[in-house]
This record gives sequence, C-alpha cells and structure tokens, in this order.
Amino acid sequence: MNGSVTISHDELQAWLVDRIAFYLDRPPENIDPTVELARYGIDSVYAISIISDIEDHLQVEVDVAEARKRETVTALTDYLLELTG
Amino acid sequence: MERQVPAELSPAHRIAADLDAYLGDPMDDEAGPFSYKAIVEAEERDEIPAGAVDAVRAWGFPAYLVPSRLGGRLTTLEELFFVTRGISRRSVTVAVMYGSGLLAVNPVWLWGSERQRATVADGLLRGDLACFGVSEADHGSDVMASESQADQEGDDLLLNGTKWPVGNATRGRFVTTYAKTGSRDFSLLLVDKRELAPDCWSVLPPVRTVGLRGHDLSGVMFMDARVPADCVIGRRGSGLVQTLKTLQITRTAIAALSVGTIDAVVRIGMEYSRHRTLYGTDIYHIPVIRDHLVKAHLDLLIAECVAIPVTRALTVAPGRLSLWSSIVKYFVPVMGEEVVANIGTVLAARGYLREGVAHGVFQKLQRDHAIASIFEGTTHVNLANVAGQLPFLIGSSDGEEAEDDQAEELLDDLFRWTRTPPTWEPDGRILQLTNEGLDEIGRRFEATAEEVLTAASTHAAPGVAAELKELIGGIAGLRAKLVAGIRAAEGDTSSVAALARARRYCEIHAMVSCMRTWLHNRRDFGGPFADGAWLVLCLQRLLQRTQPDTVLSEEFLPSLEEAMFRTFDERRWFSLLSLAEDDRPVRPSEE
Ligand SMILES: Cc1cc2nc3c(=O)[nH]c(=O)nc-3n(C[C@H](O)[C@H](O)[C@H](O)COP(=O)(O)OP(=O)(O)OC[C@H]3O[C@@H](n4cnc5c(N)ncnc54)[C@H](O)[C@@H]3O)c2cc1C
Repeated sequence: MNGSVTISHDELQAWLVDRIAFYLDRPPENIDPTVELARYGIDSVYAISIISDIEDHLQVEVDVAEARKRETVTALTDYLLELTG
Repeated sequence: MERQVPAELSPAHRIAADLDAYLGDPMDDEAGPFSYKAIVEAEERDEIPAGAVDAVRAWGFPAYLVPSRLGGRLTTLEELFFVTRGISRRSVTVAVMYGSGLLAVNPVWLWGSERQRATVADGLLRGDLACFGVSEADHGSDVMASESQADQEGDDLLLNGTKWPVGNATRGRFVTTYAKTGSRDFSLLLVDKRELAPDCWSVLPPVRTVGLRGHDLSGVMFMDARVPADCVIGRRGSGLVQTLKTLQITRTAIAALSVGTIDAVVRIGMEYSRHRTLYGTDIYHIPVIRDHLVKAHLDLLIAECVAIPVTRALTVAPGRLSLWSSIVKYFVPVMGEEVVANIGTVLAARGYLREGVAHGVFQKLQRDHAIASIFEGTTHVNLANVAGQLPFLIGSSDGEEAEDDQAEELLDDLFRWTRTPPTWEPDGRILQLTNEGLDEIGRRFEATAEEVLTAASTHAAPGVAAELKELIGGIAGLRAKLVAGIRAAEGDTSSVAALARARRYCEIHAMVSCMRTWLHNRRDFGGPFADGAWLVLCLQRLLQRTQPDTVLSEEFLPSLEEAMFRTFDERRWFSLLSLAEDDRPVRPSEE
C-alpha cells in the first residue's frame, strides 16, 4: 500500500524520536537514533504502541515482525521510507 | 602521626536514633504501643495497637513522605530508609501503611502540577492517607492488561473499573489510579475521594491476609465517576512509564522492611540462645546455633552494604536505579526470608507459638515480612528486569562509562556513610527505564578488586589480605563464567537460565558492594571495621550461595561476635557501625 503522506527522512526521524521520547519519558535530545532501542528499554509492549502510532501517522500498514528487525531509529526510518515509497 | 578530625555520619543516622528513642525498646512491656506485647495483643484482634499511628504521627513520620520543598521533611531516600527500618523492626504493618502511601504520591511529586503537589502535600501533612491503585484482580503483574478506563466526556473524564487488592484503599483519601485513556495508552489519575459524587464509587470489603493484619488491604470501585481532565498526572498516556519509574524508589525502600525484620529476629534469637539452657549451658554453645546467629548477623551487614548505596543513588545517580532497585528488591527480601527461617530453627517450638518468647512476636514478624518479596514486583519480576539488561551490561560501554576519577567520585558518594547525599528535587525525567549498559558497581569489578587488594596488603589485619586474595580470585572466576554465559545466550533474557544468570549478577553485585563499603569507610570508621575481617566473612557468606561448602574463617569470628553481643547488650541496632572504633564516626548532633 502506498503512503498518502510524503515526508522527508529528517522529518520522519525527528517524529519517531519524539514518540520514543514520549514513551520513555525523557527529553528527545537524549535519544541517539543510532543506538539500539532495546538498550533504552523499549520492550515488546512499547514496540507495538510505536508501530500503531506509525500506522496512524503515515497511513501505512506496517509488518510488526519486519519493523522489529530494525533495531535503531535510523534503521527504522529507512525502512519506513521504503514502505511509503 | 597526623591527627584527623573524625568525620560525621550523614543525618539519616541521627533521625533514626531519634525515632528509635521516641518509640522505646520493643522488648520492654512498658514501651507503649510499639512494645511487642502491645503489637501481638492487638494483632490477635486484627488491629494495630491503639495509639501506634498517633505516636508515629506525633513524631512527624508523615512529613517524611513529603519533599522538603513542599513543606515536608523528605530530603533523601537514605533518611526515609533509616526511619522505615526503625519502624519495621517493631511493626512492618505500620511501615507498609505509609510505604503504600508514598508509592501513591510519588507520581505527584515526580510529574504532578504545582496545584496537585500542593493539594497532596497539604493533605498528607494533615494526616490523610493515599493509595496506589494499579492491580486488578484478573491481571496482577500484567499491568498492560488492566481494564479500568477513563473516557473523555466534555471537559471531564468518566472513570470505570475496580482496583484490587490495594493497600489503604478504604482509609485513603487520594487514589492514584492506573487507567486506560486511549486504545493502547494508560495514564495515572489523581482521584480525590472528597471531590467525587457519593454514588459513583465504593470500597471493597477488607481482604483477610496471612500477615500485615490491621493493614487496610481492600479495593476501590469506580462507576461512571466523573473526574476533571486535569486530574491526569503529567502527560496523558504516560501511565506505564510513570508506574515503572515510580516503583524504582519504593522498591529500594522495601529493603528497609527486611533489614528492620532481620534486626528484630536476630535480637530475639540472641536473647533466646543466651537464656535457654540445655545440657548445663546456654544454647549459644551448641555449634549449629552459634552458626545460625553469626550468619544471620553477617546477612544483616551484607544487606546494609547492598541497600544503603542504592537509597543514596536517588539523588547521586538516579539514572542507575532501574537496575539497582531491582537488584535490591530481589536480593534483600529473599535474604530476609532466609534469615527469618534460620532463626525460626533456633527458636524451634518458641518460633511456632503465639505467646512466650518476646510475646510470640516472631511468627508475626515472619508472616508480615513475607510481603516484601511479593508486592511492587515479585522476586521473579525483578529478576526478569535484571535479566533484560544483562546483554548490555557485558558489551563494550562505548566510552559512555564515566571516566575513572568520575566513577570513583560517584562511588564515594554512594558508599561513604559520612557523605550526605544532595536533597531530592523530584523530577521523573531523570529516572530511566534501563541503565543503558551502565553500572559503576558491577562493571568496575576489576578496579574494585585491585583497590581492595592494595589497601588490604598495607592496612588490613594479619591474614586478611591473603584470604581476600583467594576469595576475590574465586569471585573473578564466577564473574568470567557469568559473562561468558550471557554472551553465549545470545539475547535470551526470559528463560529460567536467564533468571539464574540474573541471580548470579545480583550476588556478585552484593560482593562488590561489601568491598566498596569497606574501601570507602575504613578511614572514617577505624577499629575492627578497618581490619577488614568482617569483609572476609561477608564474602565467604555470600559465596555460600554458589559454593555451599565455603566455611567462615574461625579466626575472624571473635571480633564480630564481640560487636554483636555488645550491640545486643546496649540495645542498639545491629550494624556495621558496631565495628567502628569507639565514637567514630561522629553521630551528627541536633541542628
Ligand atoms: C498485602 C498486599 C498489599 C498490596 N498492595 C497493593 C497496592 O497498594 N497497590 C496495588 O496496585 N497492588 C497491591 N498489591 C498487589 C500486588 O502488587 C500484586 O499481588 C503483585 O503485583 C503480584 O501480582 P499477583 O499476585 O496477581 O501475581 P501474578 O502477577 O498473577 O503472578 C503469578 C506468578 O507469575 C510470576 N510472574 C509474573 N510476571 C512475571 C514475569 N514477567 N517474569 C517472571 N515471572 C513472572 C509471578 O512472580 C508469580 O509467581 C498488594 C498485594 C498484597 C498481598
């Protein structure tokens, strides 16, 4: 399915960092997009919440298993950009 | 020789001594509502002794739940830990009543608006209680499955759901309620019963429990309860992360229930062993009885080494609490249960009676203490938290680990009893869900070992250095095996084997904590403490968990026993402090 929203890499990454910062209750500037999300404690429960947020925001369907193979914000951003084409 | 001015202990020690003197000696029948006599008699009626709560209030305990900036006396978690230890050696029930209240109001201190903070601070200082409603009958540890829900209706929220079992649910005025506020989001709501319409909520009947009898364990039910939308604490949707962070503080404080209980049962065990005469002499002369008492006393010293630095971490290294609080919450309550069981064997029949020795309070202490390993995350849940972080604790720390001298400074702040931790300025965002691989206690094992061996070779009593060298060699072996095991497990963090690795990690953390406690306090304490014999004994005691054949060095026992008996005779707290040179370090005087 094609995304109905066009979004730049930087915009999408900033949005993702913001969501993750919200779930972790910490300032977004303390989140390094190249660090594995598991290191921050984004466990499976939060992963589902974040993927649902992404689906709402980008209006795309995301395969949970595929998305969870992307371990960092950067990798996840690249993957989502591919999806939205 | 240069004459040093003796250093002064942190204020927690003075505050605790003050409370202790105020409440009186629990073994003394005339000590009022906190005598074991009154406590046992009241429990037989499912009550807390008349006047007990009033006495604690009159001393000012409720003010220790309110940060100093908001008009209370809560400045450091170390102080709260010490007063809770003092109450717990008499009545864990009273400590839990206030502890459950602290759990409920911490989110308000950490994320609440100024108005919420002021309302709750004012209520608490006037004696109101609070309760934390997270659990639901059908969901227990699985808080993501909670069904309670708060739906937007105009400017308000409509709250529905039943929280059970909840401490203080009936008597509490404030109910911090964990509820769904979106399809997958939870929030914490500050519900003030006084502001609710009468027909939209009710309390559930008292729950009959094994211990903590007299504690208000019940529940609360909301039926279309209309609450203002601004009762949400902090940002809407952050209830889960808030709950996980809040628990880090009270999990650490729960160790005080265990240390207080250990102090009480060791005292009762010693009293009994010196008065019980068999075969013509007191039973302390029976080797296995002496062994139980000496080991229980060592366990208390170990618990101090493990718990106290983590209480200080709240204001010294708050970002490390996710790991350290779970280590403390697993380790100290489980050790407390072992001590209680062992002292039970010393008392034999007298441990099974609800009368007689110390008015039969032993069985009550045992039943009350059993809660410590259950609530605020069971033993398994805390080990699972530790297990989840292990893969990050062995990899490279990517230069994020503090520089050596910074780490040494941090460790001095954590472990040195004469340093006063900074005042707590509550801010939820400085607590973290994980340590991100950082652990200055566990990861600096090699540096710690080296420092201990260097210091021991010049400053310890004869024989101590050689013994430490051998013990530390053994611990290094255990640690290498653990690290290899974590690597080989390739990210498995939830199997039984993963929990076993977490347990081993906690044991090694405890050993390092003992070493650090010696290193950072030996100059201030002097005396037998500085000799380091106790450190040898504590490490041997901890090694018995993995190598049950480890024996305690007989030659080091007499100085430990001397301190133990002197403390007992003087009716003071069992503590590492009893090993310090006379009048060192100085106890701070009234300000
Ligand atoms: C005296 C008392 C006071 C209480 N006070 C309060 C209160 O004030 N507020 C409140 O909200 N609740 C309170 N509780 C409830 C208490 O917090 C829960 O009992 C506790 O969270 C455990 O839930 P559970 O008993 O339903 O066990 P369950 O969650 O049903 O657990 C069953 C078993 O599964 C294990 N388990 C669960 N999750 C995991 C995991 N992730 N990994 C490994 N093993 C796991 C557990 O260790 C346990 O052995 C209180 C309970 C008591 C007895």
